[in-house]
Amino acid sequence: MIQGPVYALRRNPNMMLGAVILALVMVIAVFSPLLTRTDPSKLSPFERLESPRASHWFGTDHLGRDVFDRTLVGSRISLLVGFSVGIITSVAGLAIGLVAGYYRRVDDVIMRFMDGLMAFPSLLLALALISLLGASVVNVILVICVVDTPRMVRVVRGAVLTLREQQFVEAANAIGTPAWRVLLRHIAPNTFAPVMVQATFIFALAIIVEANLSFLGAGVPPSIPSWGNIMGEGRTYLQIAVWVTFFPGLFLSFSVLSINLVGDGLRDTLDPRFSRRA
Amino acid sequence: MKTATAYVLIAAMAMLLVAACGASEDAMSPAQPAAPAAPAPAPTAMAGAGGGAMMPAQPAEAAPAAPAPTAMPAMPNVVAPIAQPTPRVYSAVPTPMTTGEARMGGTLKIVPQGSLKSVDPQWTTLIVTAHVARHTMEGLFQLDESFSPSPMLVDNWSVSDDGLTWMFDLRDGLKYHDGRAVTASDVVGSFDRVKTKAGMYKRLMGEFGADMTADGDSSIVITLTEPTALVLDSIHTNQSFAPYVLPSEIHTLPQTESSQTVMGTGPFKFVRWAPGDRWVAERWVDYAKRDEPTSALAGGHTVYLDSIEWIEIPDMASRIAALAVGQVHALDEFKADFVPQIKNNPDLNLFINKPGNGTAVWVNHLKPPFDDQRVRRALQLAYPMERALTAAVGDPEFWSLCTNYQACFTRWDTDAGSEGRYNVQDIEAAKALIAEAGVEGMEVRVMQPLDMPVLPDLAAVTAEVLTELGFDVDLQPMDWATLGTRRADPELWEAFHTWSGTGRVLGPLTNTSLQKDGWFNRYQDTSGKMTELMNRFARAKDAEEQFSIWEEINAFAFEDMPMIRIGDFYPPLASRKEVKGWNPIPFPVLWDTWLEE
Amino acid sequence: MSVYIVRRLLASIPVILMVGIITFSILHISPGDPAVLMAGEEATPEDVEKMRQALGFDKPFYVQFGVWVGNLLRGDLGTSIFSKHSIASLMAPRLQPTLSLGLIAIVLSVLMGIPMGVLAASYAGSLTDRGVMIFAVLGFSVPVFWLGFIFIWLFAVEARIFPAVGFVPISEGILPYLRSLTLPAFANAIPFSALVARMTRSTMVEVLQEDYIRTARAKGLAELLVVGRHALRNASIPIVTVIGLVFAALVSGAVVTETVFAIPGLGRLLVDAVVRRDYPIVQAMLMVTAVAYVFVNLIIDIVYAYLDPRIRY
Repeated sequence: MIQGPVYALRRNPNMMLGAVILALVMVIAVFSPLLTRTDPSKLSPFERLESPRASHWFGTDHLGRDVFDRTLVGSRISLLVGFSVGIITSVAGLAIGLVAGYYRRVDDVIMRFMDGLMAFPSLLLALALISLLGASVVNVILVICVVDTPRMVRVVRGAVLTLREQQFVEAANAIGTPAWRVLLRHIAPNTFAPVMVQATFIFALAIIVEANLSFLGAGVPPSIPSWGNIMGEGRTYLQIAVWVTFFPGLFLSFSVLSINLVGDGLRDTLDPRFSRRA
Repeated sequence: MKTATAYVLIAAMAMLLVAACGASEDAMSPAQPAAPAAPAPAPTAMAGAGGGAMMPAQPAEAAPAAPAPTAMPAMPNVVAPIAQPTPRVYSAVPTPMTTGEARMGGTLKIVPQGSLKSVDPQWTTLIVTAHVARHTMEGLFQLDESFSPSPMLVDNWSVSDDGLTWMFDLRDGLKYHDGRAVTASDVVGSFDRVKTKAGMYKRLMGEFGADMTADGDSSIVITLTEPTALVLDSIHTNQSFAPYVLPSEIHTLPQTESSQTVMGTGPFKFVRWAPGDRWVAERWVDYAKRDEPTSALAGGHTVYLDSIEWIEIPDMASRIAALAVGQVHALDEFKADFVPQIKNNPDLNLFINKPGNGTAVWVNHLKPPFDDQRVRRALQLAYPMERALTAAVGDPEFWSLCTNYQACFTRWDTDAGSEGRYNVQDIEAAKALIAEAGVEGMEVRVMQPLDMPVLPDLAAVTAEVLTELGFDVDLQPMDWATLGTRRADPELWEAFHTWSGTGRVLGPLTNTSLQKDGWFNRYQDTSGKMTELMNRFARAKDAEEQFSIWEEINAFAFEDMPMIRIGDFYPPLASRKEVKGWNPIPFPVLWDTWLEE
Repeated sequence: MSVYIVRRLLASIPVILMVGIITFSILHISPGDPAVLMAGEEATPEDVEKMRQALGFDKPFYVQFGVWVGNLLRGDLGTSIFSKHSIASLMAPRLQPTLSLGLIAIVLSVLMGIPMGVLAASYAGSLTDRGVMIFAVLGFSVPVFWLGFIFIWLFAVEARIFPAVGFVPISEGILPYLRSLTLPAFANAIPFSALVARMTRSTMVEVLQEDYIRTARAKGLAELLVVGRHALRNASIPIVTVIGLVFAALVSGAVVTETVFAIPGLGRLLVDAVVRRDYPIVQAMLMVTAVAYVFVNLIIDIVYAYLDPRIRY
C-alpha cells in the first residue's frame, strides 16, 4: 500500500486502463477551452441537427450548437459535479462518521437520521429536492451530496467502530491523549482507504445521477452544457440525430467506466482482505 | 453456461453500438437537404391548436408538465356573427379520406399533448382538459369550421328590435349522460360559475350590462343595457373557462373548487380517468344529435367508435415509436422535427394545424426596463424572428413570420404598423435606444420552461438578443408549473414566452395580453389609446368596420408593444392509415371518425 | 429468532419517524404555494387565502405535521391537489406495474450478475475476469434512459419484437404481460446486474481462498461442485445484501424507465406530481417508498440472520 499507485497499477491492468481513460478525460476537460472551436453556447439555428462532418465533428444539436464543443466543455461540468460530490461527501462523511463512531451518545441520533435519509430512493429524493430548490449546478451538487453522504457516513462509522477497539487507540487513550487528537491523529488516517474507495464510486454515480436528473428535467440548466443535459436535451432526437446523444453518452460511459475500474482497483489494493490474493 | 451468458451479453452490447452508429448514418442523409435544417421540434404542446377551446391560448401544457396556459393571450372571439365567415385557413396535409363506408365499433387510442391534471374546463384552461370537455360536454353555441358560433343546445333564438333582449330556446329532450333533463337553470348556473373568469362573457356583463335569467324550464333570456353584436361570441364554448352547460352538482361548486365529475350532454360518455395514465369515454347511445352535418365543433356529430382512450406518453420519442408500431392510432400535436419520419412511413397520415399558434416575447410592463417603451422598441428592433422560429420549430413549412398580433392567414391579416418595426434586426438602433433609456447592464430575468416544447428555445434566443443589447441576462430554467406561479408576481421576472392557440382567430377582444392589465404582461396602455380602440371595436357595426379598427389596433400594438410579436407556428398531428374520416384541424375531435378493419 | 425480529422492528420505528420528519420538512420549506395552484387560474388573492385556510396551511408547522401523521396512521395518505382523487386510490393501480418491473428486473440482474461474478471470480486475474468485469461495469455506466430509448428503437420500432411503450396487466395474459415488461426490465436490470456481478465476484474471490475450499479441492471435488455448492453458498449473504440495495436503486430506476416506456407506475406518479407541485402526492410517495425500503431491509436482515447463524439474535 505504501508503494502506492504505481505498484497497484502494474498489478492491475483494469485499473491501469481506467486510470488512463480517466486521465485522458481530465486532460480534455482541463484543456477544453483550447480544443473547442466555437462558443459551445452559441446558437446557430440555421445549422440545426446537422450530422457529423468536417465543420462539426460530432454534428450539431437542435439549436445548431456544436456537439463536439459542447461535449468537451460538458466534461468540465460533469467532472466538476462528480469531483465536488466525491470530495464533499468524503469530508462530510468523515466528519459525521468519526463523531458518530466515536461518541456513543450521539451515534444513535446521527445514524437514525442517516438511515432516514438513506431510506428514500436516491433519485426520488434528489428529484423532490431539486423541484424545491430549483435547478442549478450548485443545487445539483448539493442535492446529490445530501443523497450520498449517508452512505459515506456508514463506511466511516463502520471503520471507526473497528478501529476504536484497536490497541493503538486504547494505548493513546491510556496515556491521556485528548479525544479529538485520538480521532484526528490515530483514527481518521486509518479510515482514508475505505473513504477513497467509496468516494470513487460516489464520483461515478454522481455523474450518472446528474444525467438522470437532466432527463427528468431537473439537472444542470441547459445553458451550461454537461454530458447529462446534452443527452437529456438530445434524447428526443435520438431517431433523427443520434449523434447528439451518442457522443456525450460515449464520454459519459467511458468516464464512469474508468472511475469504477480505478475504484475497483483501489479497493483490491487497499483492502487488506484482498491483498492476500495478490 | 456462465460464459455463454456473458458472451451473449457482450454480443448484444456490441450490436447496440453498431446499430447506434449505423443509425446515425441513416439519419444523416435524409435530414440534409433543407438548409435551415431540419424540422423543429416542438410542438407538442401546443395548445393552441387545440385550443379550441379557447383557451386562451396557451400553451397547453406541454408535455411533461402541465402548464398552465392560462389565459391566454389571444382570445377568441369576437365578432363573429356579424362578420362574414373567416376564410378557412387551416389545412390538413393529406386530406382525411372520407371515402369508403364508415364502420361502427373499435377503440381509438390517441396521445394528447400533455398530462391531464383536472377534468373541469371551468377550473383550468389547459388544452388537455378542453379535449375532455369537447367530447363529453356541450354549450349553447359552438364554433363551426369557419370559427362562427353555431347553435348546439339552442334550438332557435330571437333578438328584440332594440337589440337589448336575446331569447334562447333549448332543444327538446336534452339529457345528461345519467338521464336527467337539461334545464334552463343549469344554463344560468353554468354561466354564473364562470362569469368572473370567462373573458368575453365578463366583458358582455361589464360593458353591456348583460344579465342572464331562466324563463321557464327551457328558455334563457339575456338582457343588455346597450346593444352589441358580441352576444353569441360571448357565450360559445371556446372561451377560457368555457361555459359548458353542466348539471347542478357541478355548476354550484365554487369557482376555486374543481369538479371531479364529468357529466354533460356530449356525444361521448365519460367512463374513467386514471390520472397520469389515460382517460376513457364511450359512445353515448342516447345522444341527441342535431340534424345539420358536422362542422368542427358544431352540427350533428356521429360517433362510430365504441370508445376512445386518451393515453399519456410523456416522452416525445416514445410517442412517435408507439404510433409507428401501432400501439396508438393518433397523436395530437408533436414536434415538427419528427415530420420526416411520419412522411416516410406509408402507414401514417400527417396533418398540419394552421392557423396554429402565435408566439411573442411577453415582457413585464410593471418594472424596469420594459416599462419604458423605448426599451421594448429596442428589443423589437433587434429581435431576429426567423432565427428564433428556426431554433424553436425548424422547418419553415411549420412556421411563418406574422405582421399581425392575432393570427396569420386569417381575416386578421394586415401589416399595419409593422413596417420598419417588425423583424428589422437593427442592433445599432436598438443599442442607441437602450443607451437613451439608460438601462444598459440592467439585470433581465428570462424564464425558460424546460418541460415545454418550443418555449425553451425561444427563451434561449431571447437571452442571446438581450445579452447582445448589453443587458445582464439571467436565463432561469424552470418547469412550466413554476413559471405559471412566478409570472403572476411581477417582481420575479422580466420576460418569458408562451403561445396563443387557435382562439386567436376569434379576434382581438379576447386577446388579453393586449388589454390594459389584462394578462401577466400587465400591459399598462399609458396613453389609454388601446382601451379606447378596443371599446370601439366591441361596438363595430360590421366586419368591415371591425377590420378597419383592427388595423388601428395592430398598428398601435406595434407602436406600444404590449408584447414583442415573433410569429406563428404550425404543429403537426398524425394518425395511422386505418383511422378514417378524422379531420383534426382545427380541433382534434373524434366524432365522425372510424377505424378501418 | 423472534426476539431478534421484534428488536429489529422496534429499531425501525425511529427511522420511520425520521423519514416522516424529513419528508414533511422538505416540502414545507418549499417556495411554491400549493394553495395558489389549487385555487386555479385567475383566482383572486382572497380565493387563495380561503383555500389556504381550508387546507390548514395557515396553521403552525407542528400542527400541520400532527394532522398529517394522524392521517397517515389512520391509513389516509391524503388527496391529490389537482385530480382530487385519494392518493391511495392513485397508488393502488400503480403498484402492479412498478412491483412487476422491479421484481423482474431484480430477477434479471441476479440471473445476469451472479454468473458474471462467479465466472470472473473463478478465473480471478485472468483475461476472462477482466473482460467480464469491464463489461459489467460498462453496463453500470450507461444512463438508463439512453439504454431505454435504444431498446425501443431496436427491438420495438425496427425489429417489432416487443411493444414500444405501455404496460399490460397480468390479468390480460401472462405472455403480453411479460412482453410489455421485457424492454423496461432489461433497461433497468443491466446497470444493477453490474452491481450484483461486482459484489458476487469480490465475495467469491474471498471465499475461494478459505481453507475449507482448499480442503474441498484437495479432496478432489469437481471444481464445479466446489464453486457451486460450497463457495456460492457461503457467498450468498453479501449477495442478499446487495439485492436489498438493488431494490432501492430499482425504485429510482423506475422513475426513469417508467417515463421512457410510458408505464403508469409509481415512479411516474411521482415525476408528474413533482412537475405539477402536487405536494400531497410527493409527500405520500416519499413516505411510502421509504417505509417500504425500511421493511425490505428488515426482511433482508432477517433472511441474513437465517442464512448466517453467527449473527446474534
